[in-house]
Amino acid sequence: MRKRKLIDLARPSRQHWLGYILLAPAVILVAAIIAYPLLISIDISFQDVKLPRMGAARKPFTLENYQDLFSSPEFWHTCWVTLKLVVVVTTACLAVGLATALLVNNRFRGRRIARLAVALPWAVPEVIATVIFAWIFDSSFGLMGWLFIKLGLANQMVAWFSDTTAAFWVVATTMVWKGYPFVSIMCLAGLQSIPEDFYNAAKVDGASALQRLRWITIPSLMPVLGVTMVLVVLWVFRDFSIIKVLTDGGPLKATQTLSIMTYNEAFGFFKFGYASAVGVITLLLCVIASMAMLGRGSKAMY
Amino acid sequence: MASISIQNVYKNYGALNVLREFSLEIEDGEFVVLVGPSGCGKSTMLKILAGLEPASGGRILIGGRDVTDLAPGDRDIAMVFQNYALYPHLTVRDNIGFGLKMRGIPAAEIRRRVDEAARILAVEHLLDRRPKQLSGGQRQRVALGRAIVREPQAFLMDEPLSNLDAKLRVHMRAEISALHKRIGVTTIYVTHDQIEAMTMADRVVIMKDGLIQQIADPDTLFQKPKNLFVASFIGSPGMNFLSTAPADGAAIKLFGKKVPVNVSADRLKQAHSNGGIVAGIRPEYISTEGGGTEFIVRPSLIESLGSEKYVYFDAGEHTFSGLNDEEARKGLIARLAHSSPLAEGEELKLSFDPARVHLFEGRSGEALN
Repeated sequence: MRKRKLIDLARPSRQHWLGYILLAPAVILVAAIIAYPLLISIDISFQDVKLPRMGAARKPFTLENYQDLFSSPEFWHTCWVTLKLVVVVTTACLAVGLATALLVNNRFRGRRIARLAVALPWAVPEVIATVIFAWIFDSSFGLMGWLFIKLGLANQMVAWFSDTTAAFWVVATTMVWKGYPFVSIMCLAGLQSIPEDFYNAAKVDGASALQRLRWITIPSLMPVLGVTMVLVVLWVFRDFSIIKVLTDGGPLKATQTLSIMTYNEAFGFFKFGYASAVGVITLLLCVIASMAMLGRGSKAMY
Repeated sequence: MASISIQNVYKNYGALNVLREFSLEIEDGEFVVLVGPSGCGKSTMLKILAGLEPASGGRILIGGRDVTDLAPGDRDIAMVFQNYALYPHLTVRDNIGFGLKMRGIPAAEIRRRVDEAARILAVEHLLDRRPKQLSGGQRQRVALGRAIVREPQAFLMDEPLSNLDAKLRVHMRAEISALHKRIGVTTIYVTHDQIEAMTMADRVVIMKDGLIQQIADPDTLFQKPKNLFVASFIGSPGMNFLSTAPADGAAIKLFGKKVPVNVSADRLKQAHSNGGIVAGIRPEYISTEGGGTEFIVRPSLIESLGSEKYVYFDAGEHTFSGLNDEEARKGLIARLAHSSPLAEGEELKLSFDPARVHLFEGRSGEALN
């Protein structure tokens, strides 16, 4: 008779064991590096902590951080900047991403290279891309200033990072450049799953190219676009390196988003309790925004 | 409604000739079925007719108007697709009215015409549902509704029933025929199913490898097939083929008997030297009642369908393997309306009427009678 194995995972009653065993390392890791710090920062946000130290005694519970936050004009200004950036960057990313996806979805010579070119910005590390954009928008040697003069849009080099409006748009442009390839790749995958006969039927029905886009392509892509939009919104919310490297939130905090504010309060002014409160609010906003959008966007239609 | 004239249309993909010179005159209100095995060019022809694919050459006229290089939407045709191509994000009402909306017809008019089409197809109660909430047959009806609501010059149907189960297919087949009788629009219907072709068509166009094999009404196709391919394609179970040799005079040798045929001795001799003579007998024309040419067989298999029996037996010396191996291996079939029990391996006397025998030339496959 064959010897029975000590732990036979192939037994029907133990089928699910293997799943848990395989899942365990990832769960433990996530708990250690995400869940634990998250709980700590929620805890700190309810204490008056300047600089936290391991083993320090707990400070008394207080709502002061949140009271300060909601009465601070800077916080509301930061929220407004974040909202503006989310709306502008998400809209532009979706528009550019969809347009490029439609373009490279056509059959033409060199389509592979075109698809690669569309996806390329995604492969460039964020900090490197940002440094390049910082040079493009440099107020003394920048390519963009030169281009504006050549095109007759400006008389002299533009000081991009001294003007609040200009700085905001420079940040937005950089983020769109970095963010649209993701939308493009998602849309391309979505486009390829639309049955050819939908278009044939519409053609026979006399729909023009624009009508086919409006009535078939975009509605068919809605599930993909919904999920993609949530991911782009979250990315804009949390993105730190582009703004940090490009403007560091300036000038006059015109480009300070919630993530930059969190960083500045914590590591600039060493107000960890206050910074944690900003972080918790950001988290809440992200959860609410993504739940609202997923609820609408991912409604299955097939 | 309009007549359709297809003149010498052909299609190449590089060196690949998917459709040879195709010419067909379709009368106003006619129901024409293009049928053939997959890859025979029937769907390509339909797509060219719809304007979804360009022809490499030739002309197409719909109602006397040259539409060869017109956009699909300008041809005034409606098409039903194999997978229905219903838009999942639109309700049934919007799906049916899609074509009208794209043409900028006023909403009230669209509403009236969609209601009318829905009434004809009995899908009024489904108008506010979405395609995914419909059954296969209902989707099929909605797809038909989308075609009839436009009141086009012609319907093009690309294997519209192949996604349905067998029972529903029979039902929808009759329904499409009835619809055609009722509204009388010229219809071109593509299928690979010879039963659909036989039951629905006014005229059938049989195609193979991009070439038209025969254009005829279903009865002619069944009784006077022009060549071996048509004879083998039409009918279920398929025609039995026997390789044979000429006897003295206007006759052939079958099962050791001399069978008189209405083909001259010279013609038979000529065919015999041209790849041999192939005799075709339909399974339904073999009987147990005697008379005509009689022969004895030992059935290798008997299938009972209740009302009738399929008797399989070996062709022996007459085995013909010209079409394909499978054809040769299955042997011969007799379709008998015999209710008394038959046993496999027991001798059985069968007979056929010599007048029912089809003769073909072996190499070209052309019919001799």
